[in-house]
Amino acid sequence: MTLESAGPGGGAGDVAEGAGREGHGAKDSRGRLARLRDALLTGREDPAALGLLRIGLVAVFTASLLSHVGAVAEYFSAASPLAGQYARQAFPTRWSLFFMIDDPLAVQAIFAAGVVAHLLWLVGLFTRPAALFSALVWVSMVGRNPLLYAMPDQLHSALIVWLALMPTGRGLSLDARWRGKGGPVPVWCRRIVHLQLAVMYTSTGLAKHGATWKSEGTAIYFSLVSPYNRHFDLTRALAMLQPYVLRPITWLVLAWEVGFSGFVLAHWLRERWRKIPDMRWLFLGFGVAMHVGIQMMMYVEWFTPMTLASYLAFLRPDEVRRLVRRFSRQ
Amino acid sequence: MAGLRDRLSTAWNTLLPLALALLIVGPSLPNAALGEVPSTLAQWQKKISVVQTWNMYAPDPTRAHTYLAVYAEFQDGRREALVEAEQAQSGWGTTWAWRKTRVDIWRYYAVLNPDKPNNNRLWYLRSLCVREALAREEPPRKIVAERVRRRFTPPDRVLAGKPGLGPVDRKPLATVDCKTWPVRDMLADARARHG
Repeated sequence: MTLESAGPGGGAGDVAEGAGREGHGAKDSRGRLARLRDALLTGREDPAALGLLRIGLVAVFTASLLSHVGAVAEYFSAASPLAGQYARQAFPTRWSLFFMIDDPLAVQAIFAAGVVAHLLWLVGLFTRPAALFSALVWVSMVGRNPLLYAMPDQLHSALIVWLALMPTGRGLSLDARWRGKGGPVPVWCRRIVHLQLAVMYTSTGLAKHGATWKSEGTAIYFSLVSPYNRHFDLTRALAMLQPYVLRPITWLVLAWEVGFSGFVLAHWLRERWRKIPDMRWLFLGFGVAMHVGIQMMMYVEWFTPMTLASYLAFLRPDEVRRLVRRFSRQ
Repeated sequence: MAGLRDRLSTAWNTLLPLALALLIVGPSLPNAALGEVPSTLAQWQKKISVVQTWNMYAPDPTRAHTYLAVYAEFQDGRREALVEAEQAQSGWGTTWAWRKTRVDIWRYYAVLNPDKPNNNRLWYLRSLCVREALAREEPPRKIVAERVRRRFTPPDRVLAGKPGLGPVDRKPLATVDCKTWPVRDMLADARARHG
C-alpha cells in the first residue's frame, strides 16, 4: 500500500489504492479479494475526516459527562442509596470499575480523571490512552447503575467504545502536530460509525409497526404532547396540524429511518461507482432537520448533538480539508 | 521487519472492523436462523453496557404518561409524601433539561409493567428506604408506591374541545417493608458507611 505525500500530519494528498474515488487510475495487480478488502476496510485515507469526527463526538461525550457534576458520589459510590453488594446484586449482568472502587472520594477522583481524559482525547493529545480511559469511565458509570441511562445514552456507550478502538489521534490532533504521531487511517473507521447509525435507525424503523406510525399517523403528535419531556404545551395547535403536517411527517420519518441502511449502502457503493447519486444532502439534511426539530420541541438528553456529531463521519477527507482551510483562513 | 509489520497491520485492520461489525449487526439478527448467536453477542456487549436494542417510540409512542408517586409510612401511622409524589402531582406541564435528573429515568423504568414483577421498581423502592432513613431521624417503616397515570387525548378529540390530558388515574403499585431483608442490611451498611 503506497501513500502519496503521507507526511506526519497526513496531508490532503493521502490516497488509498482501491479505497475509493482516489484510487482510480492506479493499476493494481493484486487479487480481487485483496482489492475488495482494501476498499472496504484496510485502505488508507487522510486522517482529517476521522479527526473531525473525533472532535465532534468527543465534545458531546464531554458535555454529557460534565452534566453529572454534582451527583457523581450520589450515583456511583458508596454514598448512593443503592451501594456495595446490593448494587452488584441489582445489576448482575454489568461490569463497572465502581463495583470494585466505591469510596466516594475515589469515585470522584476517577470521574475527574475521566474528564481530563476526555479533554485530552478532544484535542488529540496522548489520544489512545485518553480514549481508552474515557471509555472505561463512561462504561463504568453506566454499568454501576444502568437505570440512570436511557436510549440516547445507549448511542453514547456504543460510539465511545467503537471510537476508542480507532486511531483517532492521527489527524487534527496535537499528537500529529507535536508528537509526530500523524498519518493516514484505515477506511473502516468512519464506516463503523455509518454502520452503527444504519443499525440504529433501521432497527428502530422496523420496530415501529404500531397503528400510530402506520394507519393513524399520530406517532409524532403523541410524542410531542407527552408532559414527561415536552418543552411547550402546544396540544391544540398540534391537533390542528395533525392531518396536514404531522401525519405526512410521521410517515416520512418512518420511511427515512427504514431507508437509512439503503442510504449507507449506496454511500459505500458510490465510492466505487460514481454514477450512484450523492444522497447525503437529502438523507442527512432530513436527519438534521428532524433531530433539530426534536431538540427544539422536547427533552431528549444529548441525542441530537450526538447524532449530528456522528453525521460528520459522512464527510470525505477532502471536504474536511476544505472546511479546515476555510476555517483557518477566517 | 517492515513487511511483517504491514501484514500484522493488515490483519488487525481486517479482523477488528469485522468483529465490530458483527457486534453491531449480530444482536439484531433473528435468533430463529442463528440459534443462540445473536443473544450471546448481545450478552457480551451488555457486560460493558453496549446494547444494540434500538426501539425508540416503537412499536408506538406512549399514549399516556405514568408517574411513580411514593409515600413513606412511619411507626406511628403517619404518611408523608416524598419528592416522587410531588412530581406526580405537578409534572403535567412542560419541562426542560435543567429540571431533569438522571433519577427521573430510573423512576420511568420503575413504573413500567405495573401488573408484573419489576426488579427495577423493587430496587428503587428499597433504595428509597435507605435514602429516607438517612435523611431523617426516624426511619420509615414502609415505602408505599402508586402509579399516577393520565392519557393523552387523540387529536380529533382535542379539536372537538376535550382537554389535552385525560383525568388522573391512581392505582396502588407496590409496598416495601423497610424492616425486612435485604433492606434492613442495606440500611445497616449505609449507616456504617455514613457514620
